[in-house]
Amino acid sequence: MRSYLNFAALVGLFAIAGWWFATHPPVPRAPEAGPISSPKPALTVDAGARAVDAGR
Amino acid sequence: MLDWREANLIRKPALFMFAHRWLKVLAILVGFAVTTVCLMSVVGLYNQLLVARLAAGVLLALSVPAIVAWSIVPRRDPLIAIGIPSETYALMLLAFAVAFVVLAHKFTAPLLMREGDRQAREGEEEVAHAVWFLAGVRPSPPPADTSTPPSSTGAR
Repeated sequence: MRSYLNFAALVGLFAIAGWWFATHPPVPRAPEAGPISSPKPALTVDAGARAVDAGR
Repeated sequence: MLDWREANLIRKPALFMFAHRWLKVLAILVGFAVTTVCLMSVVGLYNQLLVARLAAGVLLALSVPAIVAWSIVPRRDPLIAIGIPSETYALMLLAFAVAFVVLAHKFTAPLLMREGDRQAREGEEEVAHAVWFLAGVRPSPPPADTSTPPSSTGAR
């Protein structure tokens, strides 16, 4: 019984993944994202100004 | 009426056993690779080193299902315990991969994109393309050169 449940769960997960990639093909990356995205969000103007102020 | 233990001990059809075995192998292989990359994308928020990301991803992907399997295996009933570790690995790895990539796509796609960028920077082009595919993007073609070449007639 457990094997049947495990089999059904695995088939279901593969079906979900297959459906997802069939209905959501990869889209070209937005140009504004750039080829290399920063791992951390870039400093905003305000945050940069605060950082400068904190360093004074 | 069979109880749960007897239902698990009934001999299954050979075709089902064959299909289940290979489905587990496929789920473990695919689930391990995708889960490791997903975990690397999360670890990459805190540590950019490839070795650190890879070690953390592999360690988590291997150890968590092992702990779960170890905790649920019935030690006093070895017949029932047969197959539990492989089923646990297959189910947990594939379920995490699907949950991360599909169900939480809205939140995890940026993480996967950055992980693909890191892989590309480290020279792993194939891995980078696979991770970008998981993120639902593909590299945009290089922008066409719109600048007009200097004409021989205009440059006087």
